[in-house]
Amino acid sequence: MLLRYAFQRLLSAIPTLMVMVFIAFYLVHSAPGGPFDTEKVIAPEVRANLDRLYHLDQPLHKQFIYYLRSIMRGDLGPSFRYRDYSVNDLIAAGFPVSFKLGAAAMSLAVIIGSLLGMFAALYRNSVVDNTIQLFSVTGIAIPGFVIAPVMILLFSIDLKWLPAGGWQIGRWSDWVLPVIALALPQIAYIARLMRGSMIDVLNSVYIRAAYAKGLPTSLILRRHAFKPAFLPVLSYLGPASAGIITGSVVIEQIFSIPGIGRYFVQGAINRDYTLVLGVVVVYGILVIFANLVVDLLYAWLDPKVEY
Amino acid sequence: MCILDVEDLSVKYATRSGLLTAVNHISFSLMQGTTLGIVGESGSGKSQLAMALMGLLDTSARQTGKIIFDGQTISDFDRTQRRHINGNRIAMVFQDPMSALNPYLSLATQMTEVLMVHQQMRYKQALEQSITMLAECGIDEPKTRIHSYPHEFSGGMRQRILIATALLCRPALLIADEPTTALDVSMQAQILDLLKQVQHQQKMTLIVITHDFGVVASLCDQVMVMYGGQVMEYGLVAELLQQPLHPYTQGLLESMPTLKKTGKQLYSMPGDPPDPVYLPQGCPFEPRCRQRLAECKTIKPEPVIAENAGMVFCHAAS
Ligand SMILES: Nc1ncnc2c1ncn2[C@@H]1O[C@H](COP(=O)(O)OP(=O)(O)OP(=O)(O)O)[C@@H](O)[C@H]1O
Ligand SMILES: [Mg+2]
Repeated sequence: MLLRYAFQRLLSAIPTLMVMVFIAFYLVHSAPGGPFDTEKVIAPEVRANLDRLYHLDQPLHKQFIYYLRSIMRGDLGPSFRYRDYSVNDLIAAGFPVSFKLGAAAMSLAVIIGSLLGMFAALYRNSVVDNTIQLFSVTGIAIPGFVIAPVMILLFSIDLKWLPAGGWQIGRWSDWVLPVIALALPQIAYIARLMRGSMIDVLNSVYIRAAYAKGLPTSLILRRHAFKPAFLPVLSYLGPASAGIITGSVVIEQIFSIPGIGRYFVQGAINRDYTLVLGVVVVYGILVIFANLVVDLLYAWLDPKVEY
Repeated sequence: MCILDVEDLSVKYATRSGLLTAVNHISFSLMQGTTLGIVGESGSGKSQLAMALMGLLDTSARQTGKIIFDGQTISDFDRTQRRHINGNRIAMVFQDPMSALNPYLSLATQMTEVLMVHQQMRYKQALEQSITMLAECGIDEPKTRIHSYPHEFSGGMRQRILIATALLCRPALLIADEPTTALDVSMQAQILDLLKQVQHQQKMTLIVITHDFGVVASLCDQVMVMYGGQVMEYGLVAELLQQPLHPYTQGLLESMPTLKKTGKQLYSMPGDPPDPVYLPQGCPFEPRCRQRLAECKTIKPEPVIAENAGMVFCHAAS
């Protein structure tokens, strides 16, 4: 049952992906300039050869068909800029880094965000609650590209506690700042979401009924209140994964992390069409997949959902 | 033996528009094994009284007065002490069966936890007892049904489940807040029969909150009529329904549809219930009363003991 549902969802994701590739393709090509417009002047014959090699001499819709055919085979094409590498190679190198960064930020956001929201709801209108709420509002309002430089200034340059960037195997200190910077807006949002839903749940009749049964408060919170309060947070994790991805593009750039987010930025600057599109395809698949996982988890947690 | 003794109980809230009085100086006592009906219009403080008895008022509530249950002054108990009584010696069935069960937990979880907490039972034993109790309360195939979730049951079934859960520890006192209001007529009759039957079997003391004098007539020994957070009249059901002394009780009974009254125009009491923030100085019913006297506006009526040992709070009745 669950498997069939998951399979159907994956199938229905294919047209979504195609539309996404289509839009991204035309957007990238509509940007002025091309991959071979550099300061160095290239001889016209060489230029014509290059254009032919990469099908750039063909009309745009033909190029799109070529590209679509190629990605259907799982081939994201050659990189225009890093001549010796295919886009598949570049993504295979960068993806694990980006994925670890994103997964760490997401886990941190869910755990810390839910805990903060829960405490705020339990000690409603107290100093604890007001502090958490203030943090939430600021965290949601201030974007990652402001938080990250401030954190670098404070913890790397002033206090010299943590490195300002880089990503070396096995060096944990490299993770701290980027993961926190990436997670912070999500922590803030999840805390606010969790606070609201927890307050609603705590005011519900079934929680009062649980108290009337004489159950200990810890059991009521753990068994009766946590799951219903967490479900809205769970549904938010689909959009949150998209937020983490957008954030990681900026964060990888600021902290010089060799993930696909950095290729995305570099590719866009260099008009490296295939690289940009390749990253878009990977991001699209990730978001679709995250939403699927969230929906499956929801169906598993909520007995009322039928699929 | 007197099982419950309520002395001068009040519940107040500080609200933005002023001090709200939900329950206003209520006293009564109940003998073990008897059934008390509490009747009154919406907002008269019935549920607040029940919540006070359960020790489940919001933290913003200010409660005064004494509640003595089985010789213990439970109104002085702290949360942990109360916890051992709730669900164990005093149980409650909530007003709305659709929302009083946790939609995310199976019946098995919601029932067994009561026995596991109060009687230190193992899960298996608790499950067996819960199944027996469901069967006693009229749920078919309880062995399989107990693993279902609340949304798989109709309103009437859920009310049975709530009653079964409340009865698990064989409480000495059961408070049922409008146990039949949300149900259709035939289901109402079944639930009333169920309550009557378990009350009889277990010699349980029962407090039933209702709008419906039909429920009172079929289930209760005594009845308390509330208005504006106060007691208007208190007495034995047989006598009070035959011969209501308070103009408010009379009005309520007259405005009740019965088969005998078909065709005739029903009486409809003029005016609205009082705002609990601005309760009048005298009798709260005075603005709507057909028999009001000059002193009703300013002087709170003292209880008048009627010939039938009932009690009425009314200047006109003395
Ligand atoms: N937490 C609260 N804060 C302030 N006022 C409250 C609170 N809870 C209840 N009240 C007020 O107390 C009064 C009595 O409410 P209660 O629920 O006891 O009425 P009721 O007799 O049970 O009515 P119904 O028949 O509709 O269930 C109402 O005016 C209500 O607004
Ligand atoms: Mg009520």
